[in-house]
Formats: sequence, structure tokens, C-alpha cells
Amino acid sequence: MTVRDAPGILLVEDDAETRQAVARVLADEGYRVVGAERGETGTRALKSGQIAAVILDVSLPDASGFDLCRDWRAAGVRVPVLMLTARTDVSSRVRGLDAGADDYLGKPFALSELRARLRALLRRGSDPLRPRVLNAGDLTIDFGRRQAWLGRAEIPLTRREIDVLERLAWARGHAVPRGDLLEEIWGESTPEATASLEVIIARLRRKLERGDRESLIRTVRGFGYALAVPPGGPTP
Amino acid sequence: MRAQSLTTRVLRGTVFATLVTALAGAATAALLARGLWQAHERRALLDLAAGLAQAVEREGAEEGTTPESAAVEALRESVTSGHRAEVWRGQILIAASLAGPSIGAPGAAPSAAQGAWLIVTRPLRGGLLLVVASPREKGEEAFRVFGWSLLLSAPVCVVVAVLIGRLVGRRVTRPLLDFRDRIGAARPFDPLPPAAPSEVLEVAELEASFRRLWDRLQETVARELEFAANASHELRTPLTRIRLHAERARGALGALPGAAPSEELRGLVEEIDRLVRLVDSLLVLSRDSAAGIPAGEVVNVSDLVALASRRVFAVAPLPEIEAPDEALVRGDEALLGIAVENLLDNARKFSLPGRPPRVTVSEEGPSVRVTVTSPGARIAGDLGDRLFERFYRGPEARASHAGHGLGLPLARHVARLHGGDVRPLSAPDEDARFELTLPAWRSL
Repeated sequence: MTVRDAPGILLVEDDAETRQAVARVLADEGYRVVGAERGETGTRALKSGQIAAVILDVSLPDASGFDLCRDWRAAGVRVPVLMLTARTDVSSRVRGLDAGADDYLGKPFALSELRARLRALLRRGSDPLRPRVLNAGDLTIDFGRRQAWLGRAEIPLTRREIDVLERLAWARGHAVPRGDLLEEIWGESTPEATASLEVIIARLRRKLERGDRESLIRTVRGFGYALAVPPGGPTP
Repeated sequence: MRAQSLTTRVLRGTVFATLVTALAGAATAALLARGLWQAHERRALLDLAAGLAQAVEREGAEEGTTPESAAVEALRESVTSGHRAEVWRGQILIAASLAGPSIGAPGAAPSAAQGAWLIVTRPLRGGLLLVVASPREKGEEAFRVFGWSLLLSAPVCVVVAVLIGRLVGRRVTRPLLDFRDRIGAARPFDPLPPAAPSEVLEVAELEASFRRLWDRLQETVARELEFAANASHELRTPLTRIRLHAERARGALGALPGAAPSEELRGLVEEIDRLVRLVDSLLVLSRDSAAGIPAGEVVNVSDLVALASRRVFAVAPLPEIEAPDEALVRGDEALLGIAVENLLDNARKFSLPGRPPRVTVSEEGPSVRVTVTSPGARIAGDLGDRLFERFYRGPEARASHAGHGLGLPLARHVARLHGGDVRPLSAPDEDARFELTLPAWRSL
């Protein structure tokens, strides 16, 4: 891969030292990194260069990362955005997703996790019509708020369980390899993480496939899992 | 000294004052009455003596009677209405009225006049002396009246005093009690509810100074909370840099030919992560526990315990965990993770070497319980809630183990943010046992 066709990553981060360190790590991985200290320079770089993905810090000297991302989306920018936030609680997740970010990572982060998220983001691309809510029969799952209902009764789904469902929903019925799920959600493919994924699939089935409901999660043997989305598919 | 209600004090004071006043009033009245009575009696005696003297004159004016026989006649014929009258010549009794005991010779020792209360003398013609006396009983009657009036007035006075005391006590304490209730209803760190200033000057002043103190305190607390929040945010930037550098250094070392993975650098990254969690903890502690947390997401406490024990017991023997597949609560996963991790870390530090801690997770009715037992460790009976004071470290902890004295207070704070609590459960002679309770998940 030459520098010309290496994927361009825009890194908008105001702390110079962090920016340089991340840039060097990503450059070692073969990415072409464009650094920006402020939101304004970031926006300019996004418009001028070949950018495959953006890593965007939430707190910038001249703008909030949320506002910046919303402006880009309003201007029709389809590049996937990974948001760097101080905390990864529900409220900042909802804010980030509302602003049009595709993923987010809490600071300080592990480099391995940053790499994994970035790889996943580049593989998936940004999908503006990505389902935020899944409707299947009387099952409703709001991925942003991490809540699920079966009819009018709320179903208790944990963060991991929702993450797995969300990732499967994005594939719109196509099977998602087990390794992708592990890397994107657990950040590692250790035997422990694999066991944990299996436990979560079992729990999801127990909670969501009651009585004579048809199976919601399909196991693709030796490959991964797929969502058996009913006719009509997930509504965006 | 035991504190005493102000109402009681006022009541007691009023009863005492009323009793003393009543007694003094009764005594004064009785003394006055006695004086008046005495004056009245003396006048009656003087009148009687004058009457008797006239009678003796009249008898003496008749045909040639001696003064002595005239006196005898006059006393026999006169009515003395209970008073005793005697006529003496020197030390010889000449005549006496019928009523009353003997008075005794004039000028004799006072003991001779024991039976008399008031004595009036009047010289008669022919060297005779008329002595008139009112009997002792008449004087004693005055003292009886005094005694009875005291006896009768005392209970009346007490009843009146209690009634007045209650009324006054209530009136005096009402503004204070109102003030107390207003303070009691105020939530910590909130502004005091506004109230019209009391019409009692002292209470108004007390309230004003209390409000000033409260405001100052609130300002201080707010500044400290803000500082903690800012500090933990500010610390993130350098921690992010340090973590990046450490990871890159580790990667660079690992890339060298024949190099073994650096344990030191792995430890360094782990310590940075621990520091990040400590910084997060400070931020959590800076939140008011009464404020609670947003609705949050579904958290499986069994998973949290499994994850935390892998993290805490990376080198030590793993604890014995007994947990259902799911024990769901609603909350902040990161915060609850910190709480569980701190409880487990505490157990790791204080369990006897070689004896793994025991952890049980259970769901009982409306709550999810996590109990953590440290074999061999003891919770001293007098320690109680001190364990939950920030930065408190027991003597044992100071002597032997690392720690910052935030673990238990943090766990309790997080639990309380979620509507639960952390409590020590064990007796001083049992293995130390802490219990974390959280409200079980239920549909909103």
C-alpha cells in the first residue's frame, strides 16, 4: 500500500502531545494521518483531502465536537466519525449519536481499542440510514437510549446485549462474523470474550424469543450470527 | 448534663415564681389580718375595761360599800363575753369574772399570764387594779386562719402557675421550634427555604446568623465540588498522554528482536488505568448523593462481579463467587463497576493470605444483594461508620496495605446514588462481611 492510497484519517484533537502520539501510532499502522488542532482547521481538512474516517475530540477550543459533527452531517459529509469523549455514559452516547457520530471512545483509551474501532469503522463505513431503532413484530429496540420493549413491557437488556443486537441490526440480515463482533464490542478475541459472546447470545434469545415467536437471532455455523429480520426490515 | 426543653424550664420557673409569690402574699395577708385583729381585740378590751370601771364606780356610789365589794358586785353582774376580768389589790385577788382561766397577779412573771393573749390593766379607786384579758385561743385563731389560707391557696396557685407557665412556655418556644423545623426540612447543600423573619428579635437574629453560616458553608462545598470536577477533567488530558506514551514504549520494546514483553510497562499501563479510575472516583464523590443518577441502563451485577474479580484478583487466588446468571439493576455501569471493584479490592487487601474471599450475589424481592466476606479479617465494633468516612484508613490499613481510604466511602456513595447502600454486616468476632444492596431492575 502506498501513501497515496492509504486511508486518510483526520484527527481533530487540541492537545498537541496526544495528537502527535496517536498520529504516529496510526502512521505506523499504515494510515495517512491529517492532524487538526481546532474545529475550523478540521473542517477545512475534511473538505480538501481524501479522508476515510475522522477521530474527533469532544472538547475543542473553538467548538464542541458534537456541534461540529452535526454541522458536517448537515453539510452532507458521509465520512464515519469516531468521537473521543470524557465519559461513555448513556447521555453522552445519545448526544454523540444524535449529532451523527458513528462510534465513541472514552478518554484515556487503550491504543488497541482505538485501532479496533477504527478498523471496524473503515470496514463498515458511515451509514446515514443506519437503524437507530429496530422494530420486529411487537419488539422495539432503541439503540440510542439502550432500551427495549416487547409490546408495552420493557425488556431489561444490558449494554453488551444491546451492542450485539445493534451490530447485527446494522448488517440488515447479513451474517456478522464472530471475530468482528468480538473486536468491535469486546476489543479482543480471547477465549474469555468468545465465551462471553455466547452467553450474551443465549441471554438475548431467552429474553426476546418467548413462546412461539420465531427465532430472532440466527446462528451461522462456523461463521457468526445474523438477525432474522422480519419482512419490512428495520426501520431507520 | 441532659438537655432540657425550654418549655419545661419556663414552666418550672413560672411555677416556682408563682409559688413564692403566693406564699409571700399569703404570709403578708395573714400578718396584716392578725395585726388588724389584735388592734380590734385591744379596743374591745379597752372598752370592756372602761365599762367595768364604770360599773365598779356605780356600785361604789351606793350606800357605803367598800371598793372591794363594789368590784365583786360589778364583776358578777357584768357580761364579759368570753374575756376574763380580775380585780387585784397588790398581790391579792379581790374579784374575778366567771369565764376564762386565771390571768395571774399583775407584775408577776410572764409565765403566770400564760393563759392570756392580750392583757389590759386599768387602776380603780382605792388602790385596786382592774385586769382584763382575752384568752389564748382567740390569738391562736389568727394563726389557724393564716395556716388554712396557705394550705388552700397553695394548690390553686400551682394549678394557675402550671397553666400560665405552659402558655408562656409555648409562646416563647414557638418561634424557636418553627426555626428548628425549617432547618430540619432543609436538604444539605440546598439553599434554605425562605421564611418571613420571626417577630421575636432573638430568634430573628439567630436565624440571620444561621443563614449566613449556611450560605458560607454552601459556597465552600460548591467550590470544592467544582474543584473536584475540574480537577478530574483536567487530569484526563495528561493521563491520556501518559497512557499513550507507555503503550507506545511497550510496543517499541516488543518490536526489538528477541525482546520479551515488558512486565514493567504492562504494570505501568495498569497503574495508569487504576489512576484513571481513582480520578473518576473523585468526580463521582463530588456528586451529591441526594441528587441520584439519570435512569441509566440495565446492568447485570453478576457480570460486574465476575469482571471486577478478574481485574482485582489478577495475581491473588480468585474469590469464591456464588451468583445467578443474571441479577439486574438499573444504573451507571461504570460507577457500579467501581463500587463492586472497591468492595472486592477491600476484601483482597484484608483477607488472610491463602484464604480467598467469598462473594455472593442474590436477588431477594426488591433488591439485589452482593455480600463480600474476607476470611480472617475483623471489623472492630467501635469502628462502625468511620470506615465510610472519606480518606479514613484503619490502623491495619495504615500499617500494611496500600490504599487511599476512598474505597468504602466510594462504594457506599455509588450505592446511595442508585438508591441502595453499603453496610458492614459482621459481628466483631466474625469474618468481616460487607453487603451492597441495590434496587432490583423493574420496568419504568
